[in-house]
Amino acid sequence: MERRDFLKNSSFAALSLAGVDIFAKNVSGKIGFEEAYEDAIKGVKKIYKDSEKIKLKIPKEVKKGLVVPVEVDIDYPMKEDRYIEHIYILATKNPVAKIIKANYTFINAKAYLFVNIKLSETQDVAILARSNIGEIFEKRKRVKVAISGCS
Amino acid sequence: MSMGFKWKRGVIKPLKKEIKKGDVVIFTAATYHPMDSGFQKDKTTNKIKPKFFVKELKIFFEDILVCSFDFEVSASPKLVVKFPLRVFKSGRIKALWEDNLGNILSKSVKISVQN
Amino acid sequence: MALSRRDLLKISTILAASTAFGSEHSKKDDDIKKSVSSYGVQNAPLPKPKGPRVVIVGGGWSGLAVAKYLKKFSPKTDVVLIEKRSVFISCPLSNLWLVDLIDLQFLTHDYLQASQNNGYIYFNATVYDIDRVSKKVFTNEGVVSYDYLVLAPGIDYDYEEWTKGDVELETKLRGFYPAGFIPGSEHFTLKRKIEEFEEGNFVLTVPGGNYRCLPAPYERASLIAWYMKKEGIKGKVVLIDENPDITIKKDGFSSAFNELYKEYIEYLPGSKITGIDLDKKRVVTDMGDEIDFTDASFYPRIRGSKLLEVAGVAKDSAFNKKEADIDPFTYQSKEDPYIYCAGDVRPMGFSKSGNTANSEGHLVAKIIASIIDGKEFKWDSPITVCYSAVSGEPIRAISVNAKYAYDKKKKAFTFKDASTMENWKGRQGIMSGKGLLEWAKGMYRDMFM
Repeated sequence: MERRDFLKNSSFAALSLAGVDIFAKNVSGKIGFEEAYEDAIKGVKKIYKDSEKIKLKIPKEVKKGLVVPVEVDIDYPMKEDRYIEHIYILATKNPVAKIIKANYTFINAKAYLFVNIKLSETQDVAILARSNIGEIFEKRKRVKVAISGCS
Repeated sequence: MSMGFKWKRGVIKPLKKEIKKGDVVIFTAATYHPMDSGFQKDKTTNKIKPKFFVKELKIFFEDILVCSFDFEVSASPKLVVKFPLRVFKSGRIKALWEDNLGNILSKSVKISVQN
Repeated sequence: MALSRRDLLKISTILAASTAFGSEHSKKDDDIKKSVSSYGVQNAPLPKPKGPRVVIVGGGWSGLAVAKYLKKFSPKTDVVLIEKRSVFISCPLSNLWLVDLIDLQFLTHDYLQASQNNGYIYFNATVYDIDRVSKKVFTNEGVVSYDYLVLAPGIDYDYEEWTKGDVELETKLRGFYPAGFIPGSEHFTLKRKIEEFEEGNFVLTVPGGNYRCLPAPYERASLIAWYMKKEGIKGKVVLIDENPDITIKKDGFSSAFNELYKEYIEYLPGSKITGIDLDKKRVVTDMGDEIDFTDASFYPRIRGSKLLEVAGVAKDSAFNKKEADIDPFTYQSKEDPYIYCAGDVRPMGFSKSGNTANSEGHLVAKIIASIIDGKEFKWDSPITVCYSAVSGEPIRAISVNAKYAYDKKKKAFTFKDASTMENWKGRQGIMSGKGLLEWAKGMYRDMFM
């Protein structure tokens, strides 16, 4: 199917009524993106924005935000003295911006992660890869969401 | 969902069958959990459904923790995680999930490494 | 000796080059699909049309509404409804019949009555080809010419994901474990399975994509569980759902599963079936489940009826394979301005339910009548009204109402005025159960009276 056709058809509504509710406002338990981001970069020495080292595979648009596959591959050594220690996946507009934090060591041998995430609306998904020597590599990609994945 | 939820479904498996010593193997650890965000009303009772989500996944090789994952409510109910691991010898790989209410699910797989 | 199909093909290629033909649209005649069967087939025994003839293929919930209301909106139009079945069986409410909460009489209706009451012709025949050049529909009862053609043939099953082309497996699944979403023998077999079930797992599945009747698999699971509970059957329904969660009326169904059928329903969301072994009677999923079953009804993904491909107006939609390639506001085929498609073959993600198809039938009738009479028309949203029973004696039900609106920014349809009633408990649930029966009676009246 061509992308344009996909755009045309993708969000015809009916796949779920269970998922169309918008998050209730002013309820506790939210974690905003700023907060999640600050938490991830606490104490780092350098941030490489829009890093070429990160390969990020994520659909450009999804019909439903309940199962969105995200695949991250970071070009980094993973040796005993230098390795990616954490991979964070954050969403800029989810009421809870934190999605996952992977805790790795050199034994993992590759800075790779796949996970299914939820997205409440169209927004950026941000990847932060943090090395054990205090660098952060960052990459963001926008995902269009037709039907919310909040539940 | 949370009220009647019995947590028992999960699987851990390597993506390739033949593993040689020193190979970097991608494993899949998958489970299903309601992952209730704590923001939605139950339309039957009209009450807010409390947060109910997988908090952590730990991966063990022969009871040694090799990596772990922290989650929030924004992970998907179809909680599939794939991660790499360099494998040096045969042994048991175990996945242990824990949710915010302290429920635990554990699944494991035996892998054989050819020299 | 009659010419073989191969001979006809040869002839048709010679003829195709020399046929002169006037057309309003820009396509060359050679580009328009021709039919080998346009040679030597008798005309159907139908009277000469006295006005423009609209042929509707498919007497389901949309086709019946198109036929009736087209005649109402444009009385001079000659309307022929071609349907392969001689008796109408309703798919909506059939879950209630499976567990004896209503009788078969309630679901079956008379096509002749519908045509007598509404002044159109019901032609009991099976369509096997369509020639868009000569505007002819080929049926086993002869050829019917049209000025406008409405295709409302409904769904077909798409077993590909499970069978990977293994037709032996597909034939066994269709024959022994039918889905029960195209009414007829499938439903009879399913009912017999339920009645004869003694113990063990009864597997039902919920497919991915925009499948026919979103709540039906959950309703069916609930009602079979209700029946097992009532009859003291030592079994349970294992509901394998390809979707990550209950796709509609989630809270209503999940509370029914938990509170009424804890011992009778095992719900497995987010599970793709990766293997079906019919000899061992075992299903394997990508979530590591291995389910042994005593009996099963496998509901695969759906696709548009193959008739759309015969007509050359099919295209994969965002949800399912080979659905109608139409303008979502006019229902007119993008390939052929004389063809309209309605009902469950639509590519828009509307709910594939009876009420949606019926209300859409009203709209399509209005559109075609306006075109015939040279008037303007305005698009209006189909209406989804959908009740689902969760238990019987008394019937308790939950419901959803929704319309659709086009979001210009998103370039997509979204829900408008959607609301659900998911509390099956107390008076509300019983009232909703009564509403379910009344809704169906109203719909049958609309289609047949």
